[in-house]
Amino acid sequence: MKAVDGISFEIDRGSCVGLVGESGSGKSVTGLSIMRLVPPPGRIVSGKILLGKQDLTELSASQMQKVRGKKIAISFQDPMTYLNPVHRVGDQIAEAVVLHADVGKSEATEKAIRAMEKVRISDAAARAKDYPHQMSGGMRQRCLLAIALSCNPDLLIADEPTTSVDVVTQAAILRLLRDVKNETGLSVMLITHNLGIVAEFAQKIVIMYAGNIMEIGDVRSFFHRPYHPYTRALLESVPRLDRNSHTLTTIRGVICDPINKPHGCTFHPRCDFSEEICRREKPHMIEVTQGHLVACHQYG
Amino acid sequence: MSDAIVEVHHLVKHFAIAKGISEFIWGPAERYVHALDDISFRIRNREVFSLVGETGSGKTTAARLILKLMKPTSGKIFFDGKDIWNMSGHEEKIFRKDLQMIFQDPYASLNPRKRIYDIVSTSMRAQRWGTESERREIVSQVLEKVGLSPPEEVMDRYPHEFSGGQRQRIGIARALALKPKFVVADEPVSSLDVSIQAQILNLMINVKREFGITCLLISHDLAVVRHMSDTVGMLYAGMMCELAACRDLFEAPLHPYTRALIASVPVPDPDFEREEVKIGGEVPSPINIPQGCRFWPRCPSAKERCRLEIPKMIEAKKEHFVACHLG
Amino acid sequence: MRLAEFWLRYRKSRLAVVGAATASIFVLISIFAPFITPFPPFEQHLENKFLPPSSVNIFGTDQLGRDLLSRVIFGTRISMMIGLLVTLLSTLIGILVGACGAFVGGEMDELLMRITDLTYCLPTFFLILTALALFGPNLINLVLVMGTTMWPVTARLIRAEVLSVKEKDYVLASKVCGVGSATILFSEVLPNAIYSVIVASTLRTATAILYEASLSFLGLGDPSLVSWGWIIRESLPFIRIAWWMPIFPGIVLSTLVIAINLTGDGLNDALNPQLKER
Repeated sequence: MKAVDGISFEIDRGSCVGLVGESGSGKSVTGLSIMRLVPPPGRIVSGKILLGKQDLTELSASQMQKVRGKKIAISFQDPMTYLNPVHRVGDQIAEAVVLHADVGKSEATEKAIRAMEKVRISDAAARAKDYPHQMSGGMRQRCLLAIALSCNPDLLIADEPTTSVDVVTQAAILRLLRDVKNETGLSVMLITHNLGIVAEFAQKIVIMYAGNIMEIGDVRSFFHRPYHPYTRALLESVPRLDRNSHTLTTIRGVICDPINKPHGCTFHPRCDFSEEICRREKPHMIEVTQGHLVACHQYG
Repeated sequence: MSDAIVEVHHLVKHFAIAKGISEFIWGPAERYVHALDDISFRIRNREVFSLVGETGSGKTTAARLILKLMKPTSGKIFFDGKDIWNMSGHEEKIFRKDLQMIFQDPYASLNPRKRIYDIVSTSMRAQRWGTESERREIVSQVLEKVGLSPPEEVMDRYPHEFSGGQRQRIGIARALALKPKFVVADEPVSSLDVSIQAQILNLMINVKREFGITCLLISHDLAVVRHMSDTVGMLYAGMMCELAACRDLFEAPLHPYTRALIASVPVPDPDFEREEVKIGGEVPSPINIPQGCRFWPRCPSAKERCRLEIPKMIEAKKEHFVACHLG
Repeated sequence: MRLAEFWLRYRKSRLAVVGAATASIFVLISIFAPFITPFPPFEQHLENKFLPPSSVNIFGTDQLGRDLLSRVIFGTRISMMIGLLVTLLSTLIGILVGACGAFVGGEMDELLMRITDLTYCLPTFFLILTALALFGPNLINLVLVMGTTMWPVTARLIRAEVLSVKEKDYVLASKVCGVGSATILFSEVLPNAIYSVIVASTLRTATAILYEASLSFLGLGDPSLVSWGWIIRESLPFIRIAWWMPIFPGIVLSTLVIAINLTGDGLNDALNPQLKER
């Protein structure tokens, strides 16, 4: 089963790429693959992951371990699952620091508190002694980010960083990420299904469906002039806060079965514009305008 | 007054923290979870009324109380003019027929060991309604109505054979089987993929129009609320802070929390301009409620009075109520 | 989970299938015992005593010239009966206590759980010894004592399952539709809560069989019945001259217990994904 099938994109230094997709799109697997954390029996079959000039697929397991956390960090969706309930939060962040920064325990604890301050947890020294269940959802998410950012990585992969928190906390966390990005030149890959978040936060959008990239574009270009039928339909099917009630367009059918994917373009069974060629051939990514690529036969 | 199908008067729900033998030994519980404190509202016939709030606001508790799934600590709930805790057996039976619910998680709301036919006909069996063939006919019709066909095939299958969106349709079919008057929809699309949400929302709108159903929508998603509602009630930490017609609430919100919430929802338009409203802090723990207005610790416009006095709901504008000292 | 799907999952483990097949063979043997024994188990041929295994007496003969194979086959009946009766009784009590406690909740739950804890503390084996000493070593007493002391594990398991299932949305949905509490318990909750109990009960059968064999070995079983434990006990003084006397019943006993354990493990693996799905 191909979770991700031939995708290519770039993340520029200091910018944020929003990887958007629904369930089964392969967006989370992409994030895990970059970190080479795909759980077995899954594996990376082919392709390259270039961090600067280095191809990560060629590194050994121990070399990759040095990269993880130090150069690329990842933060996951559900903080409660990724924080150890029997250890204090401060200790867990310090553990990450010790692994990568080669410092003693007391210095690591200091750095942990500083990392917590960086993610705007008030009264960090006291909060560091809390256990995960004593904290609210928003604080736990901030702790996960603190762990990820503790060693000043070059790239942060944030997998659904705000799904488990409420809207107000979500806005605060996104603001935090934006500020950290602007201050330190951190690059961010934001994985989400929420189009609103990427519109406000990302510079480039990559939209995936069933393991393939459908469209890549600069954020303005993407939202104001989407090309791919899937993108267009998605944008029109979402209820919006900035508009009054309008009839929502629906995409017919259901998300395809990941094991039995359709031939040719994976979206063709649900597409209102599909033709014979869509059934036979998978479309290549074509640059329609500057920096804006689409995988659709309409433009080929 | 008479066009209100549901009326909630000064509803309060507290959960005791200790119970059972501990209470027997150590005495009654001293700590309570304040899920809801004195909320009142009316739902008009055939409208969509939304209760909006974050986790811990009490909206789910309110829904469960209206559905008579738990007893309020104090306050009254009226359905069709009758106090729901003061009904005869016959009235109760009608209540169960006329009031239905759609659940949030399509993977948890269908019994994995029952066939779709059994699930959709739950109400009919509980009401001892109809013969076997009559029931099959109704189930068939309602499955067709929610877009699942062919119904004869669907009826004999099991939930795990269907996708999330389809399961949600089955849940809706179960609620509609006996043509209820009132449906509580608890986060009906939160667990669904974006492209499926639109399908279910459109279905709900069509069904509501066709069956003339009144709907209580529970949600934290403001965009969905804006899209679907006629009237909106905003809850914060167990208290209602604003209540208004949908358009009024979104175009001219009065309560600082409502304003902050609306300003925080991301919009899929990178050029959308709006004032940034930053509020820090967290929703208060329902065990340690702040005195006075519950929002004052986080409110950018908080005054001394807010800390001391709980604000009452006042009609600031026509049909637009707000509980705030600054209004 | 439908039968076909369950079987597909179950047969993924070859050992589990072997276990189940073996246990089934034992069940068949115990049912058809009188028809398959080459000799009547109590028939004595003193001139044939201590014959080693041969084509006539496959397991050899004992000190009274009785055919060992026939005695072992009849012993299967005893073991099977004990195993099944004890499992039935303990599971029934366990389900009643656990499900009621969890479903009703509150003080009833607390009370039932304390009773469960107390029963759990009782040392089953010594209780059995005491009961047998007081009331005589017959099968009924054995089944009663084991059945009424081995249920706490089931009670706890089912209580945990019921507690988690009763909060599920589909149970609430039935409540909203007006379905009565008792109906909800039996038609919605229990069918979903029963999986781990099935596994525990299977393993309990093996434990009961071992207990019975141990008791008979110690001389506390019913001497009128042909139990494997008793056969082994009788063979002890003659172990040097007739090695086959304790060995064969021992092998058969071990095989059955292992088979039941493998079946239990297989059930666990087959039913567990279902548990995770829920």
